Amino acid sequence: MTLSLAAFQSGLGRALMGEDTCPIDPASAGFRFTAEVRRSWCEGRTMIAARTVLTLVPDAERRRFVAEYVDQGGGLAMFLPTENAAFLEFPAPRLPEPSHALSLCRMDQALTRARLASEMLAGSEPRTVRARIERAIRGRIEREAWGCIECSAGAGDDRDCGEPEVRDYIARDVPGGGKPGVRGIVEPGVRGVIDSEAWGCIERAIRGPVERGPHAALVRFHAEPEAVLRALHGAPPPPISEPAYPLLFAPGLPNFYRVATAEEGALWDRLPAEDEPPELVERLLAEGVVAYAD
Amino acid sequence: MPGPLGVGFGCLPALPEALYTADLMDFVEVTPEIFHREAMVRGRVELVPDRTQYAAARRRCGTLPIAVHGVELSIGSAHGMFQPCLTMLDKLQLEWPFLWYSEHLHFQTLLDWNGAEVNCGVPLPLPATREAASLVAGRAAAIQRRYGVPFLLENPAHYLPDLPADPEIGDEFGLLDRVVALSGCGRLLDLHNLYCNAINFNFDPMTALARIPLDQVGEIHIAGGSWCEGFYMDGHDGSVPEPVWDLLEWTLSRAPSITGVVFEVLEEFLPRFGPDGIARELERARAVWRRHHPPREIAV
Repeated sequence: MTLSLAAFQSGLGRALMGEDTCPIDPASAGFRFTAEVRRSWCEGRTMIAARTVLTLVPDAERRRFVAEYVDQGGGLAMFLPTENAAFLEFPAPRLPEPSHALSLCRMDQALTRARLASEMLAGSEPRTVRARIERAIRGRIEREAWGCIECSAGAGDDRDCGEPEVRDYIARDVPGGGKPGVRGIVEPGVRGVIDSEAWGCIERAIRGPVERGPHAALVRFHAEPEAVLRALHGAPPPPISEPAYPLLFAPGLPNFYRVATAEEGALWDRLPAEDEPPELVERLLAEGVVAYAD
Repeated sequence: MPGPLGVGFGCLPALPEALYTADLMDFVEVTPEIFHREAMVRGRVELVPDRTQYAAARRRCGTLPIAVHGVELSIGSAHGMFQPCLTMLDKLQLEWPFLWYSEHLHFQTLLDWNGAEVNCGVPLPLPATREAASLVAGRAAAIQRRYGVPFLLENPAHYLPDLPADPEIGDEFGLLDRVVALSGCGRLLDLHNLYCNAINFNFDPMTALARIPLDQVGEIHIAGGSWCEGFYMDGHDGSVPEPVWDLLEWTLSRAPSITGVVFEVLEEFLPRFGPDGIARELERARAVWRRHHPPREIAV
């Protein structure tokens, strides 16, 4: 054999994708059958990977979607979640608006994004001020905060500052009643509480504009989501109504989703925005639903 | 290889868990790719377990021993194997030790014009050449060292005629002979693949079987297939055909190192069988197995 293994494989593989590179007889029944098997595998992978969306698409349309997708080089991903993520980009602009199939497609996309983000981002840390600033600046701020605590605890004349838990701990348990150098002798767990409280003060003080989280989504269903999901298992699809059933998707949510309140839905529509209710913003920041705008 | 175990079956989430505790099988053949997904971790592709599916697979297998049957390594790709499969198995072996590991002798990925790795969408056979044998043998030996358990290579089914071959290798059987001789790995003899190729390329399966050194066979696969456009397909979509049962009888009587026989079926075709249909195939496989490996009497 004069053809190298790499050349043989490249030629054969690309010939199956439609190029004129076949190292064996491309007119042979075996090659043509292999090409058909390949196509049927690609379509099969797509159907399995995108089952949720495709179930509610009419039969003829479903076959057309999948065929077009495979024609454009789809259906090749080795792993179903990867194929699912790739496929979902394809039908979204082609599905009717409004439709349950489109809601499911957006839901699948949102779930995939949130799940992947939770794997890729270290601990799914929300985009807080603390997460965004440089380590050196962060260190300086923490040193300043500890300096304030130590000064006030040591002077003993300003016991109203800080959280009650921290004040009580310093007064009761820290040798010397909180003399300078107190950070080094405070238990690590309590130190964490103090750090977190200090950063909470900073976050609250800044309250800059927030925007939609980069891995978050709000999907509005046109019927109760449970009823739409039941249709995937054979129940009749519910009638299309107003988009009144919002679900939030984000990397910090348990199972990556929950029902959105009316207040959250309204905030989502306003984003980016400033001067929003701080409790609401802090909760959504922690869940990764919103992030501070750069 | 470990000593004889008996009959095995795949870990298929769509089947009732009770099937795995009904004394129908002696081990489970696990394909870990089905409960892993690709993720970018520190800038590299890794296969990370879907913890829910992974826990379900472990629960399903219970205390049954497991063997790993990989499907995505692409051991024969000239540009390189899909390395994340190996790192996935490194972790799996620590958490859920497997008795042996098998892969298909094929390739599925290649480099495109830009040098990027692409999956061609279907597993393809290797040419019977010295270069292919040497490449796969080196990798097989390394894999066997890496995991410290037997590594088996499976003869593939395919439909491509006139594959290139070096005269001293000859054909698909010669290729696997050479790989095994160079690497010291074992064989997973898929009797249905052999049967498919025999039909589609018009050779006698029994004559082909007689060429295979059966003392190197550690595991056997059996399955069903179907006809499509003049080809008999390795579809894993039906009951094991009678000629394949005959090949199994013949092989089991001559292969001294076999650990087990696995009945393969694709999950999407399970409705054709139902749990009872699966049980019938497994019972028949076990009956054949016990004719050649009778249960030992317990001394009193």
